[in-house]
Amino acid sequence: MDSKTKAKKKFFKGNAFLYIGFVITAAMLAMIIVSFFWTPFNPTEMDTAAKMAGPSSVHLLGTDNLGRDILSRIMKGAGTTFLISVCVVAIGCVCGIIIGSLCGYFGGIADAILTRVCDTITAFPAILLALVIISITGGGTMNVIIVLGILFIPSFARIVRSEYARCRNLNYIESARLMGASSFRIIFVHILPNTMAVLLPAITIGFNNAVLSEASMSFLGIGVKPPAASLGSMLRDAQTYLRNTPWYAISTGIAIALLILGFSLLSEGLQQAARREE
Amino acid sequence: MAEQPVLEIEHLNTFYKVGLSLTANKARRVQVLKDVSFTVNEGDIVGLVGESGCGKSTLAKSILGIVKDTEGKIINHTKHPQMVFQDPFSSLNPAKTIGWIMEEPLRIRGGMTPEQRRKTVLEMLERVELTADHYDRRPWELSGGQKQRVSIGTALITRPEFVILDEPVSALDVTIQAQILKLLRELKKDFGLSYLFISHDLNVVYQLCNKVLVMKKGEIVEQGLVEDVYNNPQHPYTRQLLIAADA
Repeated sequence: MDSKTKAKKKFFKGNAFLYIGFVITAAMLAMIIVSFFWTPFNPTEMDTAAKMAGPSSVHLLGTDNLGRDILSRIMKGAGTTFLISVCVVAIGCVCGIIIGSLCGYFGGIADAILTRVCDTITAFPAILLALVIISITGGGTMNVIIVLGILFIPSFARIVRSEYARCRNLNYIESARLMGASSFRIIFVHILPNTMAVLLPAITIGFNNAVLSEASMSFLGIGVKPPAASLGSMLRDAQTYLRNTPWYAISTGIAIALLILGFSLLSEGLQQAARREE
Repeated sequence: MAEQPVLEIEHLNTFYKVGLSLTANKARRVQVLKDVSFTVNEGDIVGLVGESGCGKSTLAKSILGIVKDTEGKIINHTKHPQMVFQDPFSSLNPAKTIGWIMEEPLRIRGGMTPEQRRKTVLEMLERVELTADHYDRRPWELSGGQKQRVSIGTALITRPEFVILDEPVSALDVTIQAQILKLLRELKKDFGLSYLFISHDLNVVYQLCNKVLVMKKGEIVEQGLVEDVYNNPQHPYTRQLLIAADA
């Protein structure tokens, strides 16, 4: 146990990115988890007596145009944004790993075709493409998750593919083949752990992109539908009353920024830690 | 004592495709090995010498079926021949522990409990002159010589009868080389192994092997007992190699 805590200390020491990122992310996560069980007020309950109230001891971040408690809405909204982003990254990452590993490991014509398809998709800005598809299929949380998830596949597939193409002919894979290991075993047991060094930063960056994409889409009104709140849709509401309730837009914006900043720093810190280990 | 062959190669030709791509559908097929024939008998250590790029590793890969575009006969009389690779730095999976790496052949073969596997690996670690401490280590924590010991132990863990050693000591410095060669000799005796030992170092081959194949540009130009070939080389290329090695 002693050596473990020592190792942890060494892990964080001199790595301010990792430390600060960890603290911010932990705080945001704690807030999100609490919001599932408790918020200061019901985030959809309207208090007509206290419309557009400024920050006070009762409503820490004030109320919006309908008299809803902004802190409660941010807590719930951050949770929604977080869950959507996690689902998007999960879809992108899992499908990306499967496609990328098969392409990279086996190569051949299927690889060439799939790589070109991925390149084609990444050639369009993801948000633009998402907007086009969502305006055809219709909005809603589920659609946003699926569309963004699919659009996130190529970025993961590409990274994973290049790692598999690199490892495919290394001696330790060659000898695994000689031992009689199946392709399935080589792909997922022998090579996959070796892709973690590039996959982990990609996941954190992907998460940030997912937060931004979700926020943008909800901001444009094709994401999460009211009365449910996400950080993006709240920012859109806040925009209308920017003059009367500036604290609404500011606190929502800060929530988005903190969510992203925490993960960016965490990602940067992880990469630094990985480099140092080498 | 009648000599049992463990490996017979007859008129082996091996090809590589070069320039394979979507646009160039006419890939060039280059012949790497030309009419290679030899036999490895039980208990032999056959040295395969020749300069870099002459097709030594290709021959090993053809025997093991890694390279598939071959013509001719490869008759393997043993089950699951194993190979120890030249570069000890890329032959061990950096994401795994030494114990995991050495247990993997047993896990794939199946039929052993985790405790049995662990015990077998610990015994093998001892056998290749490492310690139980190395079980939980990662490859990057080991020296080149230690890595090569792990590679050898991993190759032998399923008790093959025939092992191909592709330049197993070339990446190591001379004192470590001598230790590994000694280990290989002992293991051969204890496990009843036969080796095909690939090397560009004629002195190492002389120390270890009883037979030698001399390869030039994919062809075997001379083969025979080490004493005969070294004392009375027939082919000018062999003479050239011997002069270069002595100098």
